[in-house]
Amino acid sequence: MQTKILLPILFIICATTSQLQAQTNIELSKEPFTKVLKKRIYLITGMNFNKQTIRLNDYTSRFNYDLNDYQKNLYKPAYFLGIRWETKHINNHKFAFTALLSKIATGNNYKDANKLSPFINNYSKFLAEDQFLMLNLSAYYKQLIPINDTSKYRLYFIIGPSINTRLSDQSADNQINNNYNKYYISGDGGLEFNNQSFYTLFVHYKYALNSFTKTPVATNLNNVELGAMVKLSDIF
Amino acid sequence: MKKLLYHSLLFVITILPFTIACNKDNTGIEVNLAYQLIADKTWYLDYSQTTNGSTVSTRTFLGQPTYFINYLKNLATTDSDGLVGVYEIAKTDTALQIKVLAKTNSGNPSAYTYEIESIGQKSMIMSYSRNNIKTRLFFSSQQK
Repeated sequence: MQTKILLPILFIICATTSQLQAQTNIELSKEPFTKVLKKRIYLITGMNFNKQTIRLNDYTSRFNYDLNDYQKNLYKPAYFLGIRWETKHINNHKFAFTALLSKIATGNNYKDANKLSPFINNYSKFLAEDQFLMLNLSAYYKQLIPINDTSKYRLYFIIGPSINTRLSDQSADNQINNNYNKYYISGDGGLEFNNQSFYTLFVHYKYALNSFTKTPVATNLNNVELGAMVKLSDIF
Repeated sequence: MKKLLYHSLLFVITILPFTIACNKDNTGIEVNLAYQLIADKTWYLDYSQTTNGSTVSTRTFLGQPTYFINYLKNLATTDSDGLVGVYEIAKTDTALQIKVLAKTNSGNPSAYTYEIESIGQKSMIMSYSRNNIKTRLFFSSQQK
């Protein structure tokens, strides 16, 4: 199942990087490589807001966690930093490849609970992590939305997949049954506003396409990213 | 086509280290976590439940003087019956157990082993079986 999901993403990323490589090769004949690199590479930073939705299903363990202490149905803020490589405009669209290091704090929404009347009425046998360090690799298709004067301001719609790899360890609670997967895949969509090529502001929503935890626990980590990016050549 | 293959290979090699999981022996982790959760707390008996065949009877001790036991970080234990001794958490193939070696006020040795069915920051369920009667003990904790 995971191979089926991975293959198209692998193809998209490879196709994108191949296209970038081809463009760079053309430009290399005219400009120095470092200049081309700086013109196409952006630095990205911003805040993310994250929430995990957890379904325990038939998970069993010898540990219990009082959900009055752990139930947090909200998006928690954290931050990210990374780089992006964009292609040139081809008609009204282009492609982008992004690598982000994300610190993630999550609100954890347990959809179901275990009960042991009359002793404990609202507990979980699984403790969801609420902190992660992630590496996000994304391949985006960018479509220009033709509103206003596009020579000054540009608004793009973006869409594409991300592979989100967990770099941080699991807590002891989850190491016992090795509950968390190493990665999950998300489908991303959003809007990006480019102000006269000086900077770009963006908002992305990342919707998890598969569970971040192993069966029977099903955990979906969704997040919203608010950020800005500038060309490397404008900074260095 | 060669370029696509090259990039595919490069990409797979890049993500491979992040996707390989290590196999660890988790027994120590489970026992250590149980020690962390049980230690330096006083555990009060709230309910006891006996199962004899199909008959289940539950007794509550809430709102009345009840049995309690302290488990300390230095592996010492004392309880409301006057037992003083040491405890150890061990894992068998199928169960997590707590073994207590203690002495009564009059110096008589007392040893027992309970199975830890469930343990958390505030709640713990232990059980033992004697003469085909299973007894479950429901404890709630207070930090020392």
